[in-house]
Amino acid sequence: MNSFELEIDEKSYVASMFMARVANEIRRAAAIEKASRKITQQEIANKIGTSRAVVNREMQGLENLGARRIAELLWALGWEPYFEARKIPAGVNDGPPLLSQPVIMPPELKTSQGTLSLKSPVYVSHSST
Amino acid sequence: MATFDKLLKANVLVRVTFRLPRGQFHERKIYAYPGCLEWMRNEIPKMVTGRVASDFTPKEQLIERLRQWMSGDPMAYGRMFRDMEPKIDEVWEIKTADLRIFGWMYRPREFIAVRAGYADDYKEPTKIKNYADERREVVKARDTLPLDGDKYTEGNFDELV
Repeated sequence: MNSFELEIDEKSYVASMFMARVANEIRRAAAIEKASRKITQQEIANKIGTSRAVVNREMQGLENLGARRIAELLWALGWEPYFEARKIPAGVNDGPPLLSQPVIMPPELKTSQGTLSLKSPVYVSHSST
Repeated sequence: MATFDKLLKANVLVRVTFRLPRGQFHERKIYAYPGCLEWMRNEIPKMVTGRVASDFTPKEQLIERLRQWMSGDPMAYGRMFRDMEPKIDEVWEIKTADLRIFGWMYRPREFIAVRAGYADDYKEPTKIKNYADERREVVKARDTLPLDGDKYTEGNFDELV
């Protein structure tokens, strides 16, 4: 055994990856707003009427956010969600999901050397359509 | 002493892979010691989330973090991946809400996982493990690994990840 492939059932994979993607997008928006106008989690919490601790958990990606909350968080940041459902092309429904949404998180990310500068999201194109 | 490939053939180390989504490719690699791999295979599926009460199961957390790692997606320093103190030991930690994986960077973008644990086990009042022991075990494993050439790469997060 020179390599081992981890497995997860497709349903769980699709769901957890989408949840993570949503959280990443909210963090990306928050990082950009924080960098440009110093918005804080407390200010976001105040705008949507909850506590900073709740916003922090949601931003960390620990929560399965409902559609309402996603819209509220992005609204508080001055952003809006964009969602599109799409039929999986025939013949390609037997593998992990296609990615075609932004996959780059913000450049907010604190590094050991400081904070990275802002960059544009990178999009992954459809490779199998 | 042996080359890295020989260590893989001898199963001293095992490459961990994962079927990435269409459109993503393996940009980073992760290898694991057999004990760490067994933990991923057999222990994580039985785990439930701890005090952080994540909506992701520990297995989903592992898969998502490894997907981010392998696909080359950005990793957030601190929350997802960080170097442990003292930095001179060059021991790194992959983190999820409920999981901790300790190892070192063999080469840039190539992580070797040695030890792993459940996050709550490192926190009071349920603490039964500590980070210093894990760091020492990683260093010990690295020191005793019969590998030719440089066993690890030094550098900061931006250079290695």
